[in-house]
Amino acid sequence: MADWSELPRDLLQLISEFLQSEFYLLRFRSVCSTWRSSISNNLHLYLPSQFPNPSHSINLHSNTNTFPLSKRTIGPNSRDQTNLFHPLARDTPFPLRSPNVIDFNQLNVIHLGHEFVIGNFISHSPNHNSLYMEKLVLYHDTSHTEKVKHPSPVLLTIHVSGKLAVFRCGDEHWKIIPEMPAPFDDVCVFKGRPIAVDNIGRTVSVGPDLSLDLVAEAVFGGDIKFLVESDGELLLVDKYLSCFCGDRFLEDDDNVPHDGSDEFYHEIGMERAVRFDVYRLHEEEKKWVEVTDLGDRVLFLGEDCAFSASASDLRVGNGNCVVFRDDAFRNHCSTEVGMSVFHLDQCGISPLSVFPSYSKLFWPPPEWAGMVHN
Amino acid sequence: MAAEKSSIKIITLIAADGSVFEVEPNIVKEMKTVQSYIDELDQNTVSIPLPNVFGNDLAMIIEYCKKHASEEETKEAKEEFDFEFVKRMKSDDKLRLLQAASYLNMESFLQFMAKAIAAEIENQSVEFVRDYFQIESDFTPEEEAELRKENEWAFK
Repeated sequence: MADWSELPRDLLQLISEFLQSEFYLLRFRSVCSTWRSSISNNLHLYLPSQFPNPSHSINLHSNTNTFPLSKRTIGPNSRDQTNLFHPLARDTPFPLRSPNVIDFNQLNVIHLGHEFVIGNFISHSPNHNSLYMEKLVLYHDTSHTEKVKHPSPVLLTIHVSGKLAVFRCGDEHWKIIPEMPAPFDDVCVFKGRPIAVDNIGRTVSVGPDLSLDLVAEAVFGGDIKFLVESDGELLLVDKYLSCFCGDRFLEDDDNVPHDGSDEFYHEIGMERAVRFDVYRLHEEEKKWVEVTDLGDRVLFLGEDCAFSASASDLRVGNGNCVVFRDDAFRNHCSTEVGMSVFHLDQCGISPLSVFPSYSKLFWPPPEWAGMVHN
Repeated sequence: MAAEKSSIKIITLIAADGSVFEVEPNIVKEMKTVQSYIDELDQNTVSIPLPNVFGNDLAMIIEYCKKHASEEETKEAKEEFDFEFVKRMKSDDKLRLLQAASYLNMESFLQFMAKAIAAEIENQSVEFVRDYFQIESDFTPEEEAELRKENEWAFK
């Protein structure tokens, strides 16, 4: 039997390169002295730090946030402050008892996803920086052989015009990609490749020369398209909106439970989600294929992030559903509302609070997050 | 493949435990350690001892290489194979195969194994990883203090 603690440094380093989350690297460094010294303590992804902004002259810093086990967003911002945010809404901090110290050596954290913003999460408000408030993703350009060892980071987002915008580390300006048959809805990184989907579901990948290559043909149907990775597959979630007035939907929807009060439905003339269709990518055929059953998977659609998890990892019983930020509940200040769940098998939407096992993922905080250290 | 190498029909690999494997040249293309032997020797038949790789492991590596060198197999079939291949390995197998891949200087198989190990440990506690690699914690008190600082995050 070989002595594995003597695993050569280069092999340890290679293994660590496949650990996607800072939490996993932190844990890797906590195993023993050799492991600790085999990878650097700079746990943050290498990011370009300065972004020229066409509308403001201030220098902005980029930040990364991650989702730990309880689906809350954790990560220090550039001022070394660490805040807990609502996982599906970057502008909603979780109120916690202060001071609050969480020891990640004592907790088993599962990384579910992460999101980036330009600037600080805490000071991020729609009044500033309005050009780049859309979802932002980071990928690495490995197109040139010299870049394979030192891939250069690239940011991809959607410009207010609906076109794609990229910022390459070392560039002075954002580059807007002129090609746009229809306005883009979402961007993501799938297997290292930058992917974007437009309003009619036509899906492209962004090449190193900023050309757009077709990944999948359009799917017509819903109103807003989301991209989300689930269990190694790329999924397209198509959200259908419908207008409703007062306390009645224009479309008859018996699946939405009314709890007697109409407080959830008080906004007049607002659009809200009524249905979701889910497709999976068939790469060879360049097609989106409809999925009727997600099995154990739970999809989470935030404002600027989308991620998935298995129901057994989350300990919520059944999967096969989409948890999303519901605009109809948006004005509710309580952290437990503002979200709904769509079950694929019932084809219906319910407020998250109807399902305690799901709503508990978000609020109240579990014991470990509420504990107070001296 | 270069024309002068086409004279080689069969490569014989001899594992550490003496077991013998006869393979076609295209199977060992990814094994740079083996390839450099072949290039030096320039003979019709080549027999190569691999004292750092056990027969069981070599059999698995050859199986992997055969599948991936095949032009008839679709991308999906290869992915399916990879999935099953990792599934039937025990923790120890993974670590041995990682070292074998490193010794044989197989770039993509090495990446594949490192990724498989990373996937197995990433959702696990520090204690699990220590057990998995049979490692004792050997931190100095200074390192322990640093570690605590890194692992404890203060929220505001």
